[in-house]
Amino acid sequence: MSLTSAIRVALAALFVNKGRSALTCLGIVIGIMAVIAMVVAGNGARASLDERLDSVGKNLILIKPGGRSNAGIVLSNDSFTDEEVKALREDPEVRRLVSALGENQSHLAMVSTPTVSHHTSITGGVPAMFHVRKWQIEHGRFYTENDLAKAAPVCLLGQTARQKLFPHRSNPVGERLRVGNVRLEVIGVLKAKGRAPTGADPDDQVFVPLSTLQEKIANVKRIDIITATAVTQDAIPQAVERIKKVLREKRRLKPGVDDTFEVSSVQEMAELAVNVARIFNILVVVIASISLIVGGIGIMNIMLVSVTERTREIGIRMAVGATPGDIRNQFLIEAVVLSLVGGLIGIVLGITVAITVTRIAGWPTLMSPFYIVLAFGVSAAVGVFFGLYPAAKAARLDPIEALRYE
Amino acid sequence: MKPIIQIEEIHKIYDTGAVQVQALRGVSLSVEEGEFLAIMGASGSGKSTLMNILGCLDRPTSGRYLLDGEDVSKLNRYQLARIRNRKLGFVFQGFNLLKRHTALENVELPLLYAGVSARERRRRALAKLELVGLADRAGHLPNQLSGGQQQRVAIARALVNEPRILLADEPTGNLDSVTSEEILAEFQRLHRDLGQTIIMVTHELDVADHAQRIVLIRDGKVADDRSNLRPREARRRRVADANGSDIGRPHALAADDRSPALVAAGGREPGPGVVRETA
Repeated sequence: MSLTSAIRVALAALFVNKGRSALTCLGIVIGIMAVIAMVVAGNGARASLDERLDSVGKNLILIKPGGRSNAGIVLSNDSFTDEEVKALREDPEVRRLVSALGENQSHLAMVSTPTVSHHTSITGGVPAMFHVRKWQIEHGRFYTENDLAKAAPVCLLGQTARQKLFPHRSNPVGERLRVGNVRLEVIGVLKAKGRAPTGADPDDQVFVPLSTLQEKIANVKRIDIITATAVTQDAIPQAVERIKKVLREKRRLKPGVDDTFEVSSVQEMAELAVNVARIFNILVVVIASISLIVGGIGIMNIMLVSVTERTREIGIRMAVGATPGDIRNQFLIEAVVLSLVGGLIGIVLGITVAITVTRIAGWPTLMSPFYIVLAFGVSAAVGVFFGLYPAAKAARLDPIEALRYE
Repeated sequence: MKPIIQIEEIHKIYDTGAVQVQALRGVSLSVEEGEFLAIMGASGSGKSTLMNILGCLDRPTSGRYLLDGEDVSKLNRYQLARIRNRKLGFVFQGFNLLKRHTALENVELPLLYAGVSARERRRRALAKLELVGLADRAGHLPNQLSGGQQQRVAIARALVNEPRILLADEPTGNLDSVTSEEILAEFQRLHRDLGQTIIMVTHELDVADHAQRIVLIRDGKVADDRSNLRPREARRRRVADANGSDIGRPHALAADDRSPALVAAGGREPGPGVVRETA
């Protein structure tokens, strides 16, 4: 019997028991749907994380005061001194491994225009910060080394801060702000960065030269964080080691004593995220396997019922010349069609769920034809695997017994 | 005439575990091409076992079976299926049509397993339905047909592969007497006009009497084998008689079944046995 005839026969048989066939498919539908939805949503989440890490800068190295012991106890909270920053900046190894390095200090204060007040974070930094942090200008200009040297009363606004302070002006360059007694001129607005992986809003900031913050606004020197950009991703571990070495020497830490600062890289965080994603993927595979096995057993069960119900039909077919192989193929094709139809519906539902979830979460929807082909292949394999036993049972029937069956 | 079936010393023993049942105890038989043979016997005589072996549905425990010159007693299940498909056609007591398939699809079934193309299947199946006078019922499901019509569909199915032998197992067992006569007339016509070899199993002498030759099976052996010199002619309905010989008029019966008005016009008595069976 030709394959197309066999498929037609199988489809006709399945169509007779529409409701039962539909219910039998359900297990496969749910299994495939879950896999597609979770894989696509998972990919979207990872891509969105990647994108954010990229916007922060994948080569970014963070140097923070406050080392921790192995037990997690904070050992020291000493902020960095100008000498330490200078030592890092002048170390030839660090210069070779790091393309830019900038310190900054944050200060919370009330910022006012004649009409609005807004409590926000004022970040003092050096011009190199813009390179390190990949900040981009929307209007105006960055502050310069010259502004830094003169402690110039100038500032830039993040998008959130701009919106709060100048709700009706997208370009408030030239306007003036007041922080305590200090008047600042707005010289630029930064492009939006979007919410950080930590949940903080990096756009709700006012940026001023470090000297302006330390000498005029905060009146205190306390470097909160130093950020650096490694020349390449491969240089990150070396750069981290070298920075640690310079700071340990500067702080005269004896060997064996824990660091009193913390050097970490965005890459480490990214690796952590990748590990989490890997565990998530394993879970998806486990859940999918369980539901596909359950679905497959459902198919096997209904096929066994079907073989018993249609014993007489099998006898008739054998009497008119169907070989055991023809009978086996008929039932095998029925099982495969059931699971393929289930798989197909599962793919469609899975994509729908994935699109919905990624839309709501604001992640990109990364659909690849590979998943569809894979899901199709897996459902076919489930059909063959769980259809084989009932099909073999049908093929083994004795034509005489089968014809006599009531 | 050359023998189309030759069986020698066929034994069949059913091993039911505790007891061994000897269903056939050395049956030898030769059937020539073009014969219309009835195998008669009481229930338990072994005639059904013989039929199953002749029909290649079962294999003898010992003995030789030459079908069309080919020894089929040692073939495996696949090979037997091929033989059934190419050389044999079955008509059963219970019609054994597929319930959810139309008459045409039922007739096409053997061709499906012979690997015949869809168009050719349809053409040949329609031709056979026409032969048994049911071309206009091609699209009907079995439960929309009378018992006699269902059995005629089964005959069309049995003939669609141009089999060497038509095997009928109690073909009139589920039919009333009038319809039984119809079916027997159909067999006689196939035998006479087309030279179809027919082997029919029955336990009724009345039915066996329509054959050319009657073989009696008793206790798993051939008890009698004689020619029926004057086979009983199956009675046709008067509509056929009124129009002269029904030979060469295969549609007369169909017209009869289809149209009560025509039947009335033909003046047929509505016999008490005319019961429409629905399976």
